[in-house]
Amino acid sequence: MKGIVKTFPGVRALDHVDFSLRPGEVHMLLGENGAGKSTLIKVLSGAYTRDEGDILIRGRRVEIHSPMDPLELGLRFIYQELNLVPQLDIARNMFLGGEPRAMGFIRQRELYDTAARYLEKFHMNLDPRAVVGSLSVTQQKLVEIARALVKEAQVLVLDEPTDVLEDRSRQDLFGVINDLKKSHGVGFIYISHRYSEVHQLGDRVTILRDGKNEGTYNTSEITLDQIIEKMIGRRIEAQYPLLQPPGEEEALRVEGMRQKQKLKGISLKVRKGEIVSVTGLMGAGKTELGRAICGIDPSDAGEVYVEGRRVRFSTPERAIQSGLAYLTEDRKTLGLIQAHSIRDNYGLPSSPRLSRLGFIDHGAISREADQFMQKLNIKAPSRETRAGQLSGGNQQKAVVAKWLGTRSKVLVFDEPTRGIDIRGRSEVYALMKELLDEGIGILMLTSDYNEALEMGHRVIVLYRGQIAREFKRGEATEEDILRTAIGAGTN
Amino acid sequence: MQAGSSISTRSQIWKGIQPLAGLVFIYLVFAIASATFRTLDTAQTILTQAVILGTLAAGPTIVLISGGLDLSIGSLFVLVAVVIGLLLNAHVPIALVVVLSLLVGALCGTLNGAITVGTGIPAFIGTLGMMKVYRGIAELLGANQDMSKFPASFQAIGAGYLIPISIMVVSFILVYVFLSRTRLGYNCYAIGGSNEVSRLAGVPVKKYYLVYYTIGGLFAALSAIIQASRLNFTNSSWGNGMELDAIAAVIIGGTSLSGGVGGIGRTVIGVLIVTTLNTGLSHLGVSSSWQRISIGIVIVLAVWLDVVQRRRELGA
Repeated sequence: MKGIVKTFPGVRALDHVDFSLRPGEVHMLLGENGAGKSTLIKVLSGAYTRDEGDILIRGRRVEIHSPMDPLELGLRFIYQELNLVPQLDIARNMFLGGEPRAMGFIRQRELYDTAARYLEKFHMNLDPRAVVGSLSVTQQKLVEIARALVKEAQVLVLDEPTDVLEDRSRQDLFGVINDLKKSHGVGFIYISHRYSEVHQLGDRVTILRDGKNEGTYNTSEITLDQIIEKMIGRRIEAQYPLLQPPGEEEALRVEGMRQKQKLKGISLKVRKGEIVSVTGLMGAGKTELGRAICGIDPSDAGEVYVEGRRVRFSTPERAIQSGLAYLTEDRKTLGLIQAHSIRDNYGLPSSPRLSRLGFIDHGAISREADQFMQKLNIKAPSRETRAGQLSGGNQQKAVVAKWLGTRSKVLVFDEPTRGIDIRGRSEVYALMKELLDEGIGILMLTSDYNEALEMGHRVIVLYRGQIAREFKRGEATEEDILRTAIGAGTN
Repeated sequence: MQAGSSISTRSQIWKGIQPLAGLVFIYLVFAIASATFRTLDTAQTILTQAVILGTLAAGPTIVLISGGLDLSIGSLFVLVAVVIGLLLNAHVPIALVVVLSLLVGALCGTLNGAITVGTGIPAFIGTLGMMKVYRGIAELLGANQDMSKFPASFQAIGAGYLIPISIMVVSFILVYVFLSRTRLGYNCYAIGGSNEVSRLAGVPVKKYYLVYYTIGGLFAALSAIIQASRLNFTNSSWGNGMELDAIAAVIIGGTSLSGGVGGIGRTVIGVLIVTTLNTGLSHLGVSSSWQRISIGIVIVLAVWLDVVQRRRELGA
C-alpha cells in the first residue's frame, strides 16, 4: 500500500501511509485507538474507498472498491468478533458459500473429507463434524483461519484475535500462525493491543500515530519501550497510580458462594477504599462470581453483606438498591445501549431515584449526566452524543458514571480495561483510585495479571471455581500468579 | 468527532421531518388533483377516519418501542366489539359497558405480555396464537346474535367529529406524556434498545413488558368502542388485518420495528399518511384494491428510506 490517504469530515484518518507485507512474515500493526489502524484495514478490505494512493499485490496495481474484490485477490480478514455460524459444524462453516456441489446438491462426503484433510494439513486437531457453537473461543478462531486458508488466502489480516483468549490458547494460535507462515508462505497483518505479542510473534512492526506511519522496523531491532514511545509520541510515566492503604470498614463480604460446577464456595472481603483483584484462567469463575454477587445469575448457596448488612436478593434490581454495581466485561453489548445518548445511558439505572410518583425528572438526569461527564473527563461533544460514538476508554468512563449515579458502595469491575488503549487505561486506573478516595470498595475481576498486581491491594487467584491462593500487595510476581492460576503448586 | 456529531444531529432532525414532509407532499398532490379534496370538510373527514386507526395504533407504538410485538390486537378489537354488543343487548348501563370492555382489552393485553415474557416464546409466535384464539372466541360469542341499534347515549361516543377526534387527541397526549415523562415510558426505550442492558441496570423488564402489552390491549378496546358506537352495530368479522394496518402506520411514521427508537408524534404522522392516502385515492375514484397497493408501496418505501439512511450513517 503506497501513499494511502483517507479523509473524513474534519479528520485526516490516513495521511500518505505506506505499508508493505512480505510473503511468510507476521507484520504487527500497532497504534492507539484512532491512530488509523482500522481505517487502513478497511481501505484494504473495501469497506472504505481511499482518496489517494495505490494498492499493489506482487507489484501489480489492483483496484479494491467492494468487499468482494479483496477476496478474489487472496486477502482474508479475521475480526475481533467471531464470524461463524454457530449452529453449523466446522466443515460447513469452512466451505460456507463454496461447498463442493454436483447438480445443485452438496456432496456431503467430499465436504467432510476435504475439511478433514485441510484441518490435518494445518495441524489443527479438530473434528470437522463438531458444531462450531460448542467449541472454545480459541478453536473457533482456528476454524476461522482454516476457512480463510481453504480459499487459498495469501494474506491474512487478524484484528485483535487474542483479546478474548487466555494465555495458553494464545500459544496455540501462535503455533498455528508460525507454522502457516513457514510452510505455506502466508503473510499475516496482525493488529493487537497486547504489546508483549510483538516480540513473541512478529517479524516486523509498523507503528501508526494520528494517521501517519511512524516507521517500520524488524522486531529484533526495536524494544517495547521504543515502540510505546513512538506510539504515543512521549514516554509514558507511571501507568498505574499509587494506591493508598485501604480503610478499616468493611464494604463487601461474600460467604460460601456456590453455583453448580462454576463456583465451589467462595468467601472474600473487600474494605472501603480497597481494590481486591480476582484473577484466574478463563473459566475459573471470575465473571460467574461477579454476576452471582450482584444477583444477575442465581446462586445455589452463599451470603452477601454490603457494609455489614446482609442483603437478600435474586434480581439485579435489588442488588442495585443495596449499593452493588456490576460493570460488565462486555461494554458493547451489555454495558451501554450503543444507539442511545450518554444522558439516557446514565439515567437508566438511576431512574428509580430520579423520578417522583412514576414521573421522570429529565432536568435532574441531564444535570447529573453533565456533572459526571465533567468529573470523569468523558470526552464527547455533548451529553446527547450516542454511546456508540465514544472511544473504548470514554465508554468505560460512561459506564462508571452510570453506576456512580446509583450511589453504589461497591463496584464489581469485570475486565475494566479490556480493549482500551494505553492512554485510556491510565485514565481508567486514575478514576478507580479516585473512587477509592471516596470510600468505595472495588472488586476487580481481571485476566491481566499485571493489572491484577498493580491495581489490587490484594490478589485472589481462582482455580476451577475455588480460591487457590490470596497474595498481598507486592508479595507475588506475574509468574507466581500464572503458576497458581494453572493449578501448579496447589493441591 | 465534533464535525461527525453535528452531522448526525442534523440528519437526526431531517429524519424526524421526513415523514411530515411526506404527509404534506401527499396532501398537496391530492389537493391539486382533486377540487373536492381541498376542502375543510375533507380535512375533517380525514381526521375522523383516522380515529379508529389512530387510537388502535397508539398501543403498538409503545409495544414496538419496547422491542415487543402484538399481532393479536386486531382480533382483540373484534372480541371487545362483540363483548360490547352482548353487554348492550343485555341492557347493561353504558358507563359499565365502557369500563368492562376496556377491562377485557387490558386483561387480554396482559395475557399476551405474560405469554411472551413468561414462557420465552417469541412475541411473533405467542401473539399470532392469541390472534387466532381471540378471533375464535369472538366468533363463538357473536354467533347468531343481532348486535345493533344501540342506545343513543352509546352512539354519542363516536358520533360526529368532535367527540371521536377529541378522544384520539387525548389518547395521543396521554401516550406522549407516558413515553416522555414517566419512568415506565423512559425505560421503554432502554428495554427496546437492549433487554439485557436494562435488566442489568435494575429495570424489572418482565414486569414492565406486562404494562406495555396491557396498554396495547387497552387502546385496542378503546378503538373498538368508538367503531361500535359510530357504526351502531358490531360484527364478529371485524378487525381482519387491522393489527398489521396499525403496525404499518407506526412504521411509516418512523418508529423502528427493532425497538428503542420512535415516538407517538411519528405515529400521528404515519396514521395521517395512511388515511390521507386512502381518502385522496377515493376522491380520485381509485378502487380499494389500488389503495391497498399504494399503501403497500408506501410502507416499503418508508422503511427502505430508513434503512438507506441508517447504512449511510454507519458508513460515515
